[in-house]
Amino acid sequence: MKNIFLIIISLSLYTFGSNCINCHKNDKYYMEWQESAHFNSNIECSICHNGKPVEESKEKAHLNLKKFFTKKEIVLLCGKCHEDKNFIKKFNPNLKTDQLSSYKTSKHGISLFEKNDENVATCIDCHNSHKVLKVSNPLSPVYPLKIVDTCAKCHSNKELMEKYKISGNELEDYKKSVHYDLLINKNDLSAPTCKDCHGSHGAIPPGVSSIRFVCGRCHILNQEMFEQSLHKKPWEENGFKYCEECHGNHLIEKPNDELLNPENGLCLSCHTKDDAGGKLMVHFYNELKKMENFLDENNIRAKKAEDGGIFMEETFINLQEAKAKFTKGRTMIHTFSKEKFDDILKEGFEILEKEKKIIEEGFKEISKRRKGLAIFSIFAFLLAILILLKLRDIERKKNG
Amino acid sequence: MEFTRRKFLNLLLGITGIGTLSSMLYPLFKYITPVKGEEVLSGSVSAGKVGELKPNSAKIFKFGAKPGILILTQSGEYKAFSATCTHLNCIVQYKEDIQHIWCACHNGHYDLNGRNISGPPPKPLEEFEVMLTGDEIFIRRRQG
Amino acid sequence: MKIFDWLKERYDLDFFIHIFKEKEVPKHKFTFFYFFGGMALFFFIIQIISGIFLLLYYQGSAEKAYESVKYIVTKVPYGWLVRSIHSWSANLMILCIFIHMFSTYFLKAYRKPRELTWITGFILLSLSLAFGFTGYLLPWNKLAFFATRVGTDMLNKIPLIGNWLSSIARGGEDVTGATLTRFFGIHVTVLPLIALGFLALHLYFIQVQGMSTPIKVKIKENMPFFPNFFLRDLFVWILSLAILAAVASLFPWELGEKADPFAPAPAGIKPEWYFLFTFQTLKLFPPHIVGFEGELVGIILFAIAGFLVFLVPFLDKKAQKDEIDKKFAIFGILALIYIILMTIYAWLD
Repeated sequence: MKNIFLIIISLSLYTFGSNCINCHKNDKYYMEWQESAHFNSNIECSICHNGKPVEESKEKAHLNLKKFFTKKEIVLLCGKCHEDKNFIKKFNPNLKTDQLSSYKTSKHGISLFEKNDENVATCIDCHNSHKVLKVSNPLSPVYPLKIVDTCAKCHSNKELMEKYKISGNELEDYKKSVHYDLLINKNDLSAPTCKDCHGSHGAIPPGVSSIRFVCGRCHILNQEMFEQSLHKKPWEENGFKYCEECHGNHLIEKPNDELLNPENGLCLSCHTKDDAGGKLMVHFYNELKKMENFLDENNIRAKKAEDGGIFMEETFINLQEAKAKFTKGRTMIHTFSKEKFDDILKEGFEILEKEKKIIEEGFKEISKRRKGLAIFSIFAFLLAILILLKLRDIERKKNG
Repeated sequence: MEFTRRKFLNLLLGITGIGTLSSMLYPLFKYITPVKGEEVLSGSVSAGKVGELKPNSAKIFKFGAKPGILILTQSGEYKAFSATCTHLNCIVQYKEDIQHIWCACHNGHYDLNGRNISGPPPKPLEEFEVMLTGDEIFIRRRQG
Repeated sequence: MKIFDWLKERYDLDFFIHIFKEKEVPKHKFTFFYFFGGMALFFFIIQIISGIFLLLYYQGSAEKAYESVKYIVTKVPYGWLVRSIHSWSANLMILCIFIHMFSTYFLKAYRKPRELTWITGFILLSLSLAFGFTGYLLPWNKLAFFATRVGTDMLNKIPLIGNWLSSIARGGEDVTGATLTRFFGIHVTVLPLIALGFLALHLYFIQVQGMSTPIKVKIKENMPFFPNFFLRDLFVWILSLAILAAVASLFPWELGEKADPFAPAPAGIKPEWYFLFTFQTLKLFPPHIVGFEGELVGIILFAIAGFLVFLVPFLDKKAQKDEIDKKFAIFGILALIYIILMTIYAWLD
């Protein structure tokens, strides 16, 4: 029934035109609507605001007009179309229609519908009211690069967040993380932002036991290794928050080994320096540092050799392979198995030793070339001086 | 006295001249001597011999300065792609159980046409041309 | 000299005997500048020799060019040295030619009776720039590819025949393997033959007419070419060779990355230093001047300037009477300053 109603409106507007433009064409909201995705689908004013756009006089056109909406009304209004599969597929057969039902499972939705708390985000707080753009449009507030700042509108407000026992520091923390760095500085649109871990419409913090699945979507090896390691049982028994327990949630640092630092590594919160766990931590740290230094040294030396004229292309490829072993070593930590870790690192060290030899040979070649140049230059300069002497001799002879 | 000094000077000049000339001719002489074995690298690279790979398996080979992956599919077709993941440049591998090209770094999946089908990779893997001559497998960039 | 006598009985060697015995070089304040022509010749000879050696291994097709240069530089014994010398000597040769041109300009060596020496010299300068432009593409690396594209694009701007000219130069619509083969053939046979022809004329004129002395400059004495100036020339040539060997070894020429016609142009593409001043000047021209495309006006202005320089022996009437017309020196100094400043500006940009 509702369908037919909407179709009639669209058709009649198509046939008879919408007269809202006559008076509202310079309105801020009207102009915003014209830039929106709704404009392209001919979802015009009356679909949300009621009224009769075919009429020409203001009184008749404004019949049943609804100007303002409560938060609940907004959600239900947008949901009326966007949950209607038959309606939406006329415009975009691939657009999902679960937004409203997802929203009702979110913290925002639960607070709004079950606790009547209006301190929540609704559709228009993230998607705008009139200038609703596709998510894939870089100007949309929910485009991957912009989501963080959209959520920040409320979630950085510490006073507001205090009421819900949220620190309000999450966004600040996230902006220091490796994921944010990849997103903004390296243009990696697949880097996780708020919605990737929390969901978009169904936004809710991941539960303690589900965190590992959320992180594991990308970091699958770390998840698998951890699940098979001896830490899984104690983690479960203690109700630890899987990945988050060691790595945090928002401020996930760029890869480094400081969590294993012999002086103040995180393992020491449960282990002592002298027990098996503590000793393993120190072993991991020392081996990784050793390989990191070796890698850096080789890269610097190879670059220097290249600057000196030796071709180091293959060496750089092999050093990349060694770096991959190093990264794999860091991942292997999650098995907490000394054997598996040592095996991977051994492969990496082998490559590094081999390349070191090749790099040193490169330097030998440079020194050989310099020697050759020196010999030639000595001959050339000697010859030049002798020619000058010969010249002096000849000219003296001339002058008698 | 002048006479012998002149002769000495001429002698020195001659020796130094020949010395300089020799140190120039030596590299040129070595230059024209053919190098054993390797020929100019052409646009195509050998990635191994037929029979090396079992069906539904793969190997990594060097394609110039970059890594490549050669796959022999279950149905007996050879496929070759760039092995550099389009997400953050890790080296991809072949997963026989699901017959995907997979990147261990962030769980990116590519199908057997190199298309990125799941995970972070934003672009497909560049596909290379495979040419079988006799029993050797040659790989080169797609022409045209 | 038995061989010499044998030849003398059969051929009229007076010309050569005359040069050997009688050729003189005047000693004056500016004698030093006489060296630069010889140095340019020396570097040209180095180019021919190193070029021939490179030809033994270089392959001039888009598929093999880069790989063959890589082969020379990584696998051929001393290949890196031969290639580095060839690239460095090209630049040093062009530098010497510019110094030689400016010095003969300011010293007015172009005046009567040496007009044709200037004309052939100007042609040789143009040929050396053509050598530089065609040779630069041959390693088929990214820089070369885009520099060639930008350079040949200039031809498109010429009205009526521009597109035709550019397609002839490029061997097609765009820079491709066809351009490479074309440039290779031109660089290795066409230009050398033409250059050797004009060089022979240029040197012949000098031998026949002797060295020009600057107007109103006191000549201390005349020294014989053989052996006095010859030994000085040799001295300068050996020093030049030592400097060339040093830069070629200590600052080896880069291979770069293989050209990819489908990749976008890297930022900040620049031609080699000897084209920088024209490049930068054209960049500064506004897009349109009086209805014509700005760059076209720039190109035309450069063409006119070049033509005037070409004709300078006939324009400098006073010099023909051995009188100094300061206007030409002033114009020359301004041009020199402009070229140097523009080159530095382009370098820093």
